[in-house]
Amino acid sequence: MERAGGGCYPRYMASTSPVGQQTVRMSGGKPALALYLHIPFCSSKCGYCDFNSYEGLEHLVPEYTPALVHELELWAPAARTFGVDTVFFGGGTPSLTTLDDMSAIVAAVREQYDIAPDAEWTLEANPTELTREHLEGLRHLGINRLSMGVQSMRPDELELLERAHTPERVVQAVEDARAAGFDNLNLDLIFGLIGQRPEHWQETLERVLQFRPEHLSCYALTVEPGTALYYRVQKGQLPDPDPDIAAEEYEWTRERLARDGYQQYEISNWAKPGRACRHNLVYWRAEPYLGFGAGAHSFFAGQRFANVDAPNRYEEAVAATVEARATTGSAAMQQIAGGETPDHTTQMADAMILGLRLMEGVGLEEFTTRFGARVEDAFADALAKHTRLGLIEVADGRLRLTSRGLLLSNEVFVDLLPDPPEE
Amino acid sequence: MEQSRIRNFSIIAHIDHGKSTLADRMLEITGAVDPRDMRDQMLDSMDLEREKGITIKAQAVRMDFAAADGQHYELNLIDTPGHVDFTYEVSRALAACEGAVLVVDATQGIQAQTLANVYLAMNLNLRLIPVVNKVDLPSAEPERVAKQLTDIIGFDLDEVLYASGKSGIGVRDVLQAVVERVPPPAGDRDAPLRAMIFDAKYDTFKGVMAYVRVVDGRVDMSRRLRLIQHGSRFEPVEVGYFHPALTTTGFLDAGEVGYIATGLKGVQQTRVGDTITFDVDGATDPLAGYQPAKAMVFAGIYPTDPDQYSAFREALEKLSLNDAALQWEPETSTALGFGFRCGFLGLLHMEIVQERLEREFSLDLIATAPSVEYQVTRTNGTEIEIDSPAELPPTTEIEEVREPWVKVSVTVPARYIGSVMGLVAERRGEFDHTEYLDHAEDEGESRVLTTYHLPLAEILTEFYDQLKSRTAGYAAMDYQLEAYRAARVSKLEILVNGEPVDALSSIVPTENAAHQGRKLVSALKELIPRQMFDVPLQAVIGGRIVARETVKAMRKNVLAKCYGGDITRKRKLLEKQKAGKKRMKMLGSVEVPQEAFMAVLKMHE
Ligand SMILES: Nc1nc2c(ncn2[C@@H]2O[C@H](COP(=O)(O)OP(=O)(O)O)[C@@H](O)[C@H]2O)c(=O)[nH]1
Ligand code: SF4
Ligand SMILES: [Mg+2]
Repeated sequence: MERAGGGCYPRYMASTSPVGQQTVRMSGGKPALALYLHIPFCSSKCGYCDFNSYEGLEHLVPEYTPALVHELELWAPAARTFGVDTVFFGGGTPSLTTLDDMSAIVAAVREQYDIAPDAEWTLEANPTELTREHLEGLRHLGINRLSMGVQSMRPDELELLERAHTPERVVQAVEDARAAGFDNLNLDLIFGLIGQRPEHWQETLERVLQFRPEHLSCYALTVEPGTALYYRVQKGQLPDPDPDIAAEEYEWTRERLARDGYQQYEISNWAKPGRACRHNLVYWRAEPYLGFGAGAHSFFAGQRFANVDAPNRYEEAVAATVEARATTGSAAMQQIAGGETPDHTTQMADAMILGLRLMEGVGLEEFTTRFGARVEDAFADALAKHTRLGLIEVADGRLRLTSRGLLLSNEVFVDLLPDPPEE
Repeated sequence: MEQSRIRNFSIIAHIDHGKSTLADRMLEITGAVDPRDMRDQMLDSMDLEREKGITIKAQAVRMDFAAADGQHYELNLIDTPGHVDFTYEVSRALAACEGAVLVVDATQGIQAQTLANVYLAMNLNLRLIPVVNKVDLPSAEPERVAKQLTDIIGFDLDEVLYASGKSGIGVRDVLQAVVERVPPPAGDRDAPLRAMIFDAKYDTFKGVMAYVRVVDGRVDMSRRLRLIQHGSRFEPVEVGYFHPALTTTGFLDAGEVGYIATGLKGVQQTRVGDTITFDVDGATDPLAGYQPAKAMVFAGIYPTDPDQYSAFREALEKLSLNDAALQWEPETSTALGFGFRCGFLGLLHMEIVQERLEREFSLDLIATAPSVEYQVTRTNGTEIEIDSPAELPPTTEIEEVREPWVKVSVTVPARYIGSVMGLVAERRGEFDHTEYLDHAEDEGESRVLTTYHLPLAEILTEFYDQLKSRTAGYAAMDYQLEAYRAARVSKLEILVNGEPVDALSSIVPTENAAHQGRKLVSALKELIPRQMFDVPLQAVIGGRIVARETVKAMRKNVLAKCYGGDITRKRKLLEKQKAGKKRMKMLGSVEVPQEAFMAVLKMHE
């Protein structure tokens, strides 16, 4: 998956350069681009979920694939000078998309974009309805990385999260995935659950380790406004999650995963050597990506923008864009809901906030080359304060979060943001 | 109007006995207010008064009454507040009158403030008209209350009137009695002008509005005027009376009540209690003024936004024109910045001043714990008065501290005497005596007036609420400053991360100090958000730590999954956190949210 590298960094780091205009990541002799495709449908909405995902919108599914294909076509000319080395189907639940539809979408991607032969093709899946046959079909279409939402291996916790599957279903789905030929498997987990004791989390992680996944994402639960879980906490039906227990579990997790040979490459992500998610790294390194589908986000040509969230409006907007191209020749992308062109200061802050999430941190020299300003000057106060508090450190010419800083990263990030303009 | 047909009177009553309602009926009967414009408690014009259902500021109104003799009389009614904190307002209003209607609720009988107000009126030689009010209520006991009035205050039974402000029964008789019993004003119309300022208010267009009772002569628009004591001079901008809306007449005669718009913009140039006369050929002797009110409760008040400091100063200047009892001087706090040390008549006064400042001047304020004024004799023999913990000398330099004590009168049904005694004992108080106001068949139902001595500091802290709750709401109280007595007090300091927070320190009785310290520290522990480091909280008395808690260092503040590369949203979340931090107060290196700080300051215990 990852190209070979050397030196003191793990291979995934050496293969690309973190930030910097001088050293753009390449794919097939062209600057590299990542593609993200969003599938907003789920069979049921989980209690903690604030993603752009919907249950009960099955009637919109038939029109969704053509809309995605059209949107891929709309952007293709702009992406002609790029080579694509990672394609990611996220959701929602992309594993719900039928093989016929998947094959149409994959075909469009391959036809319209310059895809590297060794590209990473990830698909997010829920164990609930996943069949061996479907998995084989996906593998056959060229999907070579599967990311499965497991979250917990305890029935009571799955219930709390309103997940639709059981631990047994996970066991079966993983077995089927392996049998279907997926040798690059990620499992998503959530710790710091309400009422969770450290031994509960340890139980989940130990069971999951038995699957020998190549990659693990472990997120601390956050109770997001607007979710069912948030409502229950607000109503007092459930207590707030305990941040100290989450911290304890996190520290244990780091040790435990290191023992099994996983390398932590980001605050919440671990991988076996060479198995870091190329697509994830694109985000953290502030490299370009194009997003397709309802609510999908893009960072392209220095701009950040996003599509409309509602799947029906997305479908209509793409149709309208296609129609306008044909009749008036208008180039306006009507599916885009809004965006921003980060100014120089914001770009610097983004590079820091994203880069510090990675264990590789921010290269001081690369930063200077890219922005014409030194980290030490642009962020002098924040650097002094958080070095003193022991949340960040500089070593080997790179600025990184310390072990303690990982879980307190927001405290650092907040001080890296530019001051808001005075009213 | 000739003086013989003018009557100036007030209505005095214990709170809620129906003074404002009775005034409403009077306004209606005399046609001073069109029935269509009639609102309940017409004279309570401040929003705050309507909300709290109490009269805070005295108000004046002129009525035209056709009496039984067929003649028309000019009745000037000055409404007064009922709460103990505002006794000062009451005395100012009474000084502008020759008589007062004493209203007593037929279901409650005489209560503590009834008596306090009666004594005030008697001292000013006012003619009193006793009215048993709310006789429409089924639970009314008019005969019993009438007997209290004769037994306790010494009225003749045939002097007592019966009325209902609600239904209007007997209200015309009350007005007729005002005409018959209250003497007309006795001023000299031919003498040079002397008008007593009994209240004042600031108007953006007309400058300081002086509310006056003309004692001698006549004021009109033709002559320049002068304040005898203060010396400031002005041309009147407008002269008139209250109907209750301002009604211009261009003149006021001796005996009449009304207003003079002075056009003066400097609020410091006028003072309630001063006498207005002609600038040239005016009177030389001022009228007997009012005793300046004595502030009894002190607190630091600060704008939450330091940029509001000068707006706050201006607001205080304007408000004190209208609230002569309010005192203030600049004060600084390391925790709160620049503000003012303010003196109030009582806690309700403090609360109302703060609310008026916030509402009428759009300020956002924060107040420290209220304190009384202590007298301190130092070991070197010098005497000082202090009203803030910062001024308390070190223990080693103190020979003696004395604190104000008050005489508290409580009226209550006899069966609650024990509960009241208990409360008083808990608050370091002493029993003085009990007096029966009447004798009911069931002994426990008899009304008693009990008198106690208590440190003022003790009744500042929820005493009134406690009294009410322990007597099923029956008890009523009044208090008067009595004397200073030796006190054992200590300065309680709160240290956050090792540094004293001046705004949180207070002077407390030594025997309660440790308990108070523990209480404050554990409240703070709940309110201070976790920081990047452990934050010790300590309560210290005279260098000795009496309570200690730790706000444990924060361990986790991390964003969840970044889905689909939505970086803008992550940045927005961080920006929100950053904005939240901006609103924090810094106590040394500890960030404390404004709300948390206020919550602790509000724990006035
Ligand atoms: N039934 C009855 N209620 C009254 C009467 N006078 C006043 N009230 C009620 O008693 C309460 C207090 O009246 P208010 O005039 O505000 O008393 P104040 O505090 O003395 O001004 C209000 O709820 C009035 O509606 C009355 O004559 N009869
Ligand atoms: S399956 Fe995933 S996207 Fe769908 S509701 Fe659950 S958490 Fe959200
Ligand atoms: Mg009233």
